Amino acid sequence: METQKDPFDLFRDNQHKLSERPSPQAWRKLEQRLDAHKNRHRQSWFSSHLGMVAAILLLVVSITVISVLTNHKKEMQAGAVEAVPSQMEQLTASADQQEILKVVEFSRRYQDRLAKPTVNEGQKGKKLVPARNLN
Amino acid sequence: MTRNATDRTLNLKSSRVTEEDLIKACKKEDRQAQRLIYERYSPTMFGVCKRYMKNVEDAEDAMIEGFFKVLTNINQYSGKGSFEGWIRRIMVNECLMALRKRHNFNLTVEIHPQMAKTNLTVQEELQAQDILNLLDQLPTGYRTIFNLYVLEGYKHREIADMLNISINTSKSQLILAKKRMQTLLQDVRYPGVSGS
Repeated sequence: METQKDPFDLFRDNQHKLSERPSPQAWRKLEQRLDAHKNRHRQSWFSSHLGMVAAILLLVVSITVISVLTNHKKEMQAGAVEAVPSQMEQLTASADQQEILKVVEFSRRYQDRLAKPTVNEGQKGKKLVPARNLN
Repeated sequence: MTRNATDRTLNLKSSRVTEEDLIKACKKEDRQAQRLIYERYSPTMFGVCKRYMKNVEDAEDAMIEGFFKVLTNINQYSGKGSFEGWIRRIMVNECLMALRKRHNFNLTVEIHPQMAKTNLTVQEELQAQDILNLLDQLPTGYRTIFNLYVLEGYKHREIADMLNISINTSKSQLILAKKRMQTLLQDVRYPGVSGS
């Protein structure tokens, strides 16, 4: 009597027959991909390290610039303190200047009074007499 | 005792070169070692890819991509377990990724009677081309689940996770694949094929 075979077993037993050497182009394609990967890997390593060097340089330059600016500011502040005069300017007027100011003020008031007289001129021929109590 | 420089250099042409030596050299991106790994495993892996893909060109592309991943990620191989098994898993994943781009594994394709009629002729013993011809008669979903379950030995739960389908879909597609395979073998009067 014939033994019954499971179709799955048939495949399991014979799958090794599918092993076959791929075409020679397959290795060449793989090699090209590996070369491209290696170059990209190198480039990325270089660019990442270049970036690191650039970052360090930037940091050093920034620190230098900040320290130079800070020193400059301190020097400016120190210079400003030195520029302040030791004696304050005298803003009060002297006695002579007070007299001159009085004369100037008087002449200004006189000019004003002439321009706007407070007492009207009377008519000619009339006498100016002191006012009496009319009550 | 100090070893001289020539002793330390790995002679990859030597017949005594071990798999471990090759892996170490591949980790240093040694092209000769990479070539030897490829030469050693490419026939088997090409066979694996041919089972999954519908044509030889696609199978070769998947195999190249798989080997590229093997050789560029070889540092991830811990040394525990079979190296060939590790390569095979990468190849299977590569094939599944290629298939997923074109096929929805949740869709079950019904086989019409017209589709079941084939012009297959099988010799006393299944030959490589017979296997491929029979696999070609299966829709992509059946074929993939058949490959994963029967030939790779994955469980339905694992297949469901890999293909993003339910466990029941995996089971039902395997049953249908078996029925289809049986019909095909009976049609070509392959001796002693069981119906169970």
